[in-house]
Amino acid sequence: MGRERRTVTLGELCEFRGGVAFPLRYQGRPRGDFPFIKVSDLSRPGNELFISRAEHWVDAETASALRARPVPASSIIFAKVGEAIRQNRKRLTTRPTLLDNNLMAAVPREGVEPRFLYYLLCTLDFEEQIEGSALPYLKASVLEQIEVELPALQEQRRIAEVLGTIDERIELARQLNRTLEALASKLFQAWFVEFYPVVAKSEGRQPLGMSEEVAALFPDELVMTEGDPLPQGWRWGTLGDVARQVRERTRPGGLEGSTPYIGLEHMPQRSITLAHWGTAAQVQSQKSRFRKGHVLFGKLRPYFHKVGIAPVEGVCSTDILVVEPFEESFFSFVLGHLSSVEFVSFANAGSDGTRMPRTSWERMARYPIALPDEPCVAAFDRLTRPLFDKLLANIEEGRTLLQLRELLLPWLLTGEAPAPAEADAP
Amino acid sequence: MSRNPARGVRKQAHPVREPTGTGVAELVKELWQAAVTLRGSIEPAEYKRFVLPLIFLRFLSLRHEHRRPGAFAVPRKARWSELLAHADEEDIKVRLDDALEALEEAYPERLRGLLPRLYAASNMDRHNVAQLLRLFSREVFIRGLGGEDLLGRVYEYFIGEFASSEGKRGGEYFTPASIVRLLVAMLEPMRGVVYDPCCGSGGMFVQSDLFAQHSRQLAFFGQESKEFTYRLCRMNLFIHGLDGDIRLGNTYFEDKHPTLKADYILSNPPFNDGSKGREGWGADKLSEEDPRLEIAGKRMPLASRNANPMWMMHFLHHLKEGGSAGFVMAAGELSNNHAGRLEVRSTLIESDFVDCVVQLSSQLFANTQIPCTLWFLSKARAGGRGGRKRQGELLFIDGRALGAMIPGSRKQRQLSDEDVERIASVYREFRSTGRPEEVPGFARVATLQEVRDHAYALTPGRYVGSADVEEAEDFEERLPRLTAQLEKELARAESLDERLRALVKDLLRGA
Repeated sequence: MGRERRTVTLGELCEFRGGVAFPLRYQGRPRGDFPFIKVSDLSRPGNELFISRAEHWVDAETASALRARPVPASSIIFAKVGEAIRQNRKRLTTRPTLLDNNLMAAVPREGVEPRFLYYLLCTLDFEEQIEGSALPYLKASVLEQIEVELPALQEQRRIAEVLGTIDERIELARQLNRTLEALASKLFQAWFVEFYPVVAKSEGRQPLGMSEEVAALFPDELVMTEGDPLPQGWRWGTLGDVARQVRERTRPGGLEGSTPYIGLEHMPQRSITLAHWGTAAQVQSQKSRFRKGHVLFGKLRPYFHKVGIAPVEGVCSTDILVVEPFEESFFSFVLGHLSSVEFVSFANAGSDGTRMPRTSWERMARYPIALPDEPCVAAFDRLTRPLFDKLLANIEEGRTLLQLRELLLPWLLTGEAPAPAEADAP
Repeated sequence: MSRNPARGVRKQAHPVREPTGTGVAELVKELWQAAVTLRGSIEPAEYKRFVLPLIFLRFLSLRHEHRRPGAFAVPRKARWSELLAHADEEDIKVRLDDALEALEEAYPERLRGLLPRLYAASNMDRHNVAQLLRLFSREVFIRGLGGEDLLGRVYEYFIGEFASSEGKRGGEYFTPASIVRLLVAMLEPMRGVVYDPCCGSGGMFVQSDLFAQHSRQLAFFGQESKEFTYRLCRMNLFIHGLDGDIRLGNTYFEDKHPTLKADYILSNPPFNDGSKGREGWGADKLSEEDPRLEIAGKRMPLASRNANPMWMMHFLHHLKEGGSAGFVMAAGELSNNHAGRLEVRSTLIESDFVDCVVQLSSQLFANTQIPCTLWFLSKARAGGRGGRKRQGELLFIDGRALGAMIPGSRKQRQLSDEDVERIASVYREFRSTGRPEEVPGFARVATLQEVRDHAYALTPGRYVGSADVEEAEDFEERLPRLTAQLEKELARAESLDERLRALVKDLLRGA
């Protein structure tokens, strides 16, 4: 039936290969024959499953001068030295790749399904294999001796297929969110910062990316107002004219332990997608309450550019400001400003404190903006709302898939999973 | 013949450094603040008409008193000491007008039309006029020999402040000092003809002269379309002891130096002129035979809604064989795909005139966030004049990360001397020594073929490998690219979701 498993050592399944030293003078090249991966590349956005981006590239000549032999595509790479081992991050290569000496690769041997090997390694906690006390490290000779259960090749493929489908969907949800963000922010910049529809109309052209009805909402001339061009009929105002801070404090005792908690550590930089959070059980002090759809702005060290949409209802650190528009239809407009580079540098310029500068809503509310007619803003909201809705749905779906993956992974790999139904067996 | 022999050291590490220290910068700012408080009921846009002639008068008197070589004898009526002595009298405004008139009569050649009578007819409070006179009588202007230099600085600073307080009209911006310094440091004008066909108040000339250490080996030619600015420029040159052939007129339709061929062209033409009004910039008024509309023997189309290509063709036309032009352009011109604009750009590239492109931060201008780029066109790419043969090679520099916020400003950045030198040194090496080594994310030499492969997009980030190339893209380019990507991803999501559904069914069956 192909359900038999045999006990093998990892050394029989793959070859462990360490990386080589990567001298500084060869670093920083944006293109070349091989990506040269460092530990920091494991946590780059886009590299959560496959290594698809790299900061450093080298050409074949440099590689041979460094005596660096690339590991083939479909190898599994992971941290070999340092605290990074404890994070147990494993990634798959998609092309011949070079590793620096803090990384190690597991290169699958003939007859081993690489994606299966990847999932198999994901079930292993490498922290248990650490040698050395001052500087933790992994030894190939130790890893080779680990005993694992190996199903038949066909079963390996099935496991890889099931988990691979889930992983690909998680990965795609992340990529989709990056695209959705880029689209929303580009549209916002064009409409309300560069006044692109107005400029296009003044040139006698139909603005790109909008219906004629929406284009009709925009004036067709810029006028000089207070030394800056402004679409005719619009006026200058401040962020405080369209949004307010939500101040709802909680006391630590009064919260259910399962309430989602967002701290600055959960917020990614330069991305409005807040996909990670903890629970109130982990926190003690006073927190701010937020609802789904509020905008969260990290006010501590604003230059970190941590701004996002609250994906659920919950509480957050008091170093995060909770903001909402006065009018529901201004949501996308307000979010567009709050998450812009210009706004973040404005907030940052008015921060107090040197080591740990903080900005304040009082400062942020004074951010000067062009105030369009309400119908323009509402049209923008109608256009972009589906993007944000999809983004939030992707976060939710991604979390569900992640839970499913975590549940399935050990279950499939330990052989406890039932056999596939007969009808599906080839 | 250096005006100040003490500074006449031939070889300096940073030949374009500010002539004076930071204490001066503060003093200049303080004088500006004081002058602003004396504006009274005069319209902000009008105020410069009253302040700048005063500085001019002050300057002539100083030079006269110091018996500077070549200084003009100042008629008694126009002497500063004389005016100051009567500052508090009822008729001080009339006296000022008389002073201006007397000067113009004494030097009709050089000063004609520069100094109209305007004080007596204005509603400017005479007490404020007196205060202004006192402001520029401060001791700092007299002390030692530094008075004239300081006044030059004051004049330049005031022009800049007036320009930025006026706001931006139709894409015209006062060129920030650090960008002028950068252009000059890159082109290194030492001897020959310097030309700026939209010269504004003449900042490019003054900075070029400073770079050449007042060697008098440079000849300045300019054109300016606004009358007041044109006068300002002539006064500015005068104050800096420079001669120049500056003419008044619209460069598009009345090229006032039609036969001029320049060794150096430095310019900051208006950004995207013609894109905001209904009429465009007036392309239809140009004759089809206009000699400027030809690049390497090929007739070029004109974009009626954007004068950027027109300016580039104007520069190229007026460039001498062996000469180089460096100018400021809106970033959109690097990758714009409107048929006419693309054709001019691709022809410039294919004809091998494009030497170097620099992208700078978007916050260097006082009153616009528009990202700015520098273009260098050259007719010296075959080598010669100490230059290197570099046909088919283009230098790209991404300087967006350079510059720091001007202290006290929340919107405007400036390039430090180090930033200027960092960019300029790469270009100098490219021009004269050899291919500069690639600095990822900052500078790289690309081949003509690579530029072709990028469909003639000149965005430096594409070639030097910057992380955020898209940021610099035009909305109209970026939007279709993004929506196509989204479409593809959504389609992939659909097929993946199908597989997921089958998987879920399987799992349920197995459970």
